[in-house]
Amino acid sequence: MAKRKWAGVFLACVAILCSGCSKPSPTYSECYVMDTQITQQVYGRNAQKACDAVNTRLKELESLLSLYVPTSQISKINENAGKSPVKVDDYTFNLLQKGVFFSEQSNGLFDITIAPLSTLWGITSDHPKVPSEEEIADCLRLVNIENLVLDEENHTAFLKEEGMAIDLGGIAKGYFCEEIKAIYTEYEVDSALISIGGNIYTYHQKPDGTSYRLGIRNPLSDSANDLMGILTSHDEVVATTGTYERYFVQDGVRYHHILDLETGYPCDSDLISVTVVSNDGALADALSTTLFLAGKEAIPSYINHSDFSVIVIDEDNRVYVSPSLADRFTIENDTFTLADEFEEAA
Amino acid sequence: MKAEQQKRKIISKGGIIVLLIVIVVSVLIWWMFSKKDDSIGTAQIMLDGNVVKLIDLSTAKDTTFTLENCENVHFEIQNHQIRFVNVECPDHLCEKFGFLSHPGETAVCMPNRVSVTIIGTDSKTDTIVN
Repeated sequence: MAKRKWAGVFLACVAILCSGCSKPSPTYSECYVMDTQITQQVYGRNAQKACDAVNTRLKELESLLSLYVPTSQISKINENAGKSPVKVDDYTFNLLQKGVFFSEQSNGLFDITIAPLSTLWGITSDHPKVPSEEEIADCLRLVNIENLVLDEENHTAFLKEEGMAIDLGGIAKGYFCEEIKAIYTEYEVDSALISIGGNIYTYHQKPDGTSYRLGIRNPLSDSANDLMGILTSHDEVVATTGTYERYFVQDGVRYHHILDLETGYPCDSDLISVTVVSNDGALADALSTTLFLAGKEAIPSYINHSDFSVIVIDEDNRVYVSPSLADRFTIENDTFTLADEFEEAA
Repeated sequence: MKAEQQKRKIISKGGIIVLLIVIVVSVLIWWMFSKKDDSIGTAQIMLDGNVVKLIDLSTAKDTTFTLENCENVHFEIQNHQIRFVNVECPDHLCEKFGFLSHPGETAVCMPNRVSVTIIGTDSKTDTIVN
């Protein structure tokens, strides 16, 4: 009896010692696709396999959809602009349909036929340059979503004018999150977080039952590790757009990557950061750019939307937060204050 | 016979003392580890998606180094912090991340496909939306 008692005490000691090391740790993965760093932290017994499967699939999608891969379906549509329709697979067709939908809804702010202009500037390339006004005007004429014809019956895409081209960079990464969710489900992942160029997808809560803590970058800082706030999140996509993401400097002027389709130049928005939270990754991705371009005056029209929530920062460092995020977002930097006119905007 | 069996079952005084010492030492070891300063993490350097270096910043000495298969990139360790320095790339954005030391912080040089992430248990966030 006494022996059992002491064995119990001993086991309790072992349990105390082990409690400190029993916390499950995630599998980390990193790869580069579509000129973007992809990082994953995945929990579960098949975590490594799931990470590998996601990385493999993302590379496949890049070869299918990238404007910069000459054999991609998008490159083929672009090459055949003004000539003939190109048959594409279901995945590409569905993404193009989404792209057309968001372009049409954006009142000209977002357009997936932006490629002639985006490649002219080359802001995401190794050799960006400030184009001439004439070059910009020539490219702007080619950006027109109405001249992209999608044939649902034959699954073809056709750009009516030669020189037109599609760039899915503003929507594809968010759209990939649906595919990633299916892979995590297939591999019975317990929980995961993936970051794809400005888009974060959280799959379930962490093994300890808490939500992921996502830092929202301070848009005024050069360092990506400087936070302005923290958002708790699970099972959704969080997409952020800011002018700090990609830019180049020429003759002392900073040129960022968010192009205004009215002027053809990087936009002069009165906002400095827009974060969109939604279950629909493509929507979050496309909308973060669109709302950035729409500026401050559009905030009341979407701050209280049923399909998505937002965290918007204006140039006076005032932060507008959707009521649905009020309980899970905190400002962590005194430079930023919650907007007074929040109630009015809502 | 019965008394002898009972005597064998019961732990001796010496045994109790040894067991108590074991418990006290165990609890002390656990307390020491749990009290470790976790605000300084381990720098995990990755090249093209593969871990090429792990550096415990809490014990790291000041130095500058490059990577075996990527001499375009250099790192500096100073006061238990790490940063990109003297990087051959078009934008030098990686150098603007500055020094890193706290778990959760990260910096990347996209053109060279090199990243450094501070890993550890005391992270304020799980990731940062950029």
